[in-house]
Amino acid sequence: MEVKNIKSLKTLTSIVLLLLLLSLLSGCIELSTDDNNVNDSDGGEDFTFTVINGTVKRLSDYLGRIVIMDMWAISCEPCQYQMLELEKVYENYSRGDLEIISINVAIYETSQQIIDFIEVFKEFGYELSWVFGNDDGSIWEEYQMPRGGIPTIYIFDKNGNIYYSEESYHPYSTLVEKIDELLE
Amino acid sequence: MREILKNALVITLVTGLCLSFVGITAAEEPIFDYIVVSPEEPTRESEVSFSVDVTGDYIEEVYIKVQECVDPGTPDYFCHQGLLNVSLSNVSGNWEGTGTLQYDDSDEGHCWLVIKSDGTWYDYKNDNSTWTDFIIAEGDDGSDGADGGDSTDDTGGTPGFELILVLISIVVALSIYKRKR
Repeated sequence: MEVKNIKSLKTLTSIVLLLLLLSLLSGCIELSTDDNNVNDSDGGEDFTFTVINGTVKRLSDYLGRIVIMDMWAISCEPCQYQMLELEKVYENYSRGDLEIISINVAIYETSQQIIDFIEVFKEFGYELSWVFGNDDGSIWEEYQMPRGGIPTIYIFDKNGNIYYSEESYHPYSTLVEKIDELLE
Repeated sequence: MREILKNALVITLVTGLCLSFVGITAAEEPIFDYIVVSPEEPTRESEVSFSVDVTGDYIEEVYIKVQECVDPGTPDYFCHQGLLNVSLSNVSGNWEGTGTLQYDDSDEGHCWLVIKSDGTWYDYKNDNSTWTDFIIAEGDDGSDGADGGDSTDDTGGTPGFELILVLISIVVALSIYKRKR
């Protein structure tokens, strides 16, 4: 009877260990397949996106510069106001110091609609001449804020590390304050 | 003289054909009135009715897209990325439908029309004539309804939490098993 109990305890322990091993392994598999949004070995963030002209870019293509990532959608009213603030920021910093990437996170909005949107701003005298890209859903999944709001602003330092992130409209003064802190 | 008449006839026919073609193309574009939101100031996470008068020969589907926003007119202004998609049905010439507002913190809603006419989709999100704003009220009891929404999000958004529970259960089961022995 005692031997039987020990045997069944051993079997139970093996099952538990096996289950634990499987759950750990599944975690590893999940990590390895999520290769679109990863942390580099030095801790910097990275992700890919499609520029509205069709080329594929990575955040790491802009290493050495501060990057403002603006997650937005055409239908979002504060995102449109945000563009005016970003335009002022873009005008006042050199391309060696700063790049802006506006990622449209509404996957139902097309590149052509974004081009038309930029064109409308141009008609009113606003040049939105920075990088505009489309998200396939993965950037939003990785970087959306707790309330799922747009515009969401991320500021990455020159090494691609997240320096600042917040969901809401950001006036020029707030953006400049953060950029200057990084440039100091 | 005959030649002139012939030419005039050809020109008239071609012009007529062109004009009729333009007429047909113009007829495909839907014509719509403003969107009526009922109640005018719905509360958060409540049911809202939409109706709009859309006319056109080939209207197949009509949708209202609703974007909910928070803190308009303040520096914290943002909109929820997820849209409410309300399908409208044709009720004796008027297109009507209902949908439930999605968020427990919204203060304002923006809605616009999306129409499928003769196989073509028309999205009027940047068209001032269809863009409609409405206020979203907190609710009669003054609560922001955060309890319900947040608790659902937290359960789904804490990966590994279930695993901890499973591990605790296994440890408890093992200790009970050992004690019985």
